Amino acid sequence: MIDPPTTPIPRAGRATRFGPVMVALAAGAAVSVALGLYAGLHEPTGVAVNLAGFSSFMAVKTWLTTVAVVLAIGQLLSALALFGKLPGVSGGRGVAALHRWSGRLAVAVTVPVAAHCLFALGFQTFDTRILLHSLLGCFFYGVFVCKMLVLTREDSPGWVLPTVGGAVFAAMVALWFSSAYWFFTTFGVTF
Amino acid sequence: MKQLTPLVTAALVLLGLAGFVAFNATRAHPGGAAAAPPATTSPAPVTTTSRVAALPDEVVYAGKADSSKLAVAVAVKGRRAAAYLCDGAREAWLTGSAKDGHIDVTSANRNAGLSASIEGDALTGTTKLGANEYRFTIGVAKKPAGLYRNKNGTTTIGWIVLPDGSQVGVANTNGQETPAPPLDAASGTATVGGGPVSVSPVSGEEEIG
Repeated sequence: MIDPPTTPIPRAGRATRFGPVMVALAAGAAVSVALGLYAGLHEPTGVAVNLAGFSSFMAVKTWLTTVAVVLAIGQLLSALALFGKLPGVSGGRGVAALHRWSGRLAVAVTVPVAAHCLFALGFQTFDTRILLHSLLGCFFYGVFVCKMLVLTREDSPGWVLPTVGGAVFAAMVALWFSSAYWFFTTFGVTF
Repeated sequence: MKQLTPLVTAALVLLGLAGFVAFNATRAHPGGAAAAPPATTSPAPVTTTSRVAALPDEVVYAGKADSSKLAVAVAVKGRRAAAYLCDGAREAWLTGSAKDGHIDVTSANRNAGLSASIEGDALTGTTKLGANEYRFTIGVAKKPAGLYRNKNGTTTIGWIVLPDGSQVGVANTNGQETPAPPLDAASGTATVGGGPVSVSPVSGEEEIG
């Protein structure tokens, strides 16, 4: 009796396909455009449900975004380890699990923040920071969805995953600088 | 074997995002999104060509709308603003944001709105109460002038004390609007139902519920 193969076939030596990557990029672009359209067309309410313990929802958002960006730096380091690019650290199953779960947590904490942005503030263009932040926010979830789709395939060219993952990281850091960093430098480090 | 967990993660994130927005939508508009009025009922945006002045951190503006008996008071604190419109018979409480010299506030039921920008010591803009639109330019209200509110059970009373000392106010009990009793703004008291009640000045952070 022959068992069906259960282990993934090693990537090396296999033909790579770019078609699925295109599908992932298209899906990500669709998510970004959809978010942008909602944020642009929905009339911003200015208010949304607040969280206890903070002076304002701005402060809540600032701290959640800061948690997300710290986790994102962890994502970059654990990804480097997984690709064997971090001297002295070998990427084993533990690192893979850490990368996966801290990544999920990082994105999860951005969800209430983004929902507040979308619902209460909307897509705004009245200064450069706001415009960049609006664009980056839409881009972030698009490129995140794209990265998740790329992960489902074993046959993408080798450069695709680091590139898309790097874009997610870059967008996260830029979102932090255009919001939380601005908040801390404008209002001080407050809760 | 294809990995499907990232698909689940992506789907959960997008569902979570949609869920949060939907939750906010039901909380912010009790009638749901379908009950929201069309965009044409929102107050006309005020455009200014002059440089945008920074709002003071905490300030109250009060005055009458142009050629009208409608009194307008706007309290600003930080990035939040609360406003009250009252002509002695009709009234509306509004809340919203103060940002970059612009104030945008609306009533919870979206029947009233106010949009204004600061120009020197004055606040200039437009406001809408029901079907009527008003223009206004009002100045900073120094105490005892300003905006006052008392909430007592099902009755909410609002007063605008104008810089000349005159008062405009309405008591609202479950939607029934009656003239407000006189307010002693200096001591912050009024007589309601035969007994004295304490009345607090309204700041931009006031929760109007």
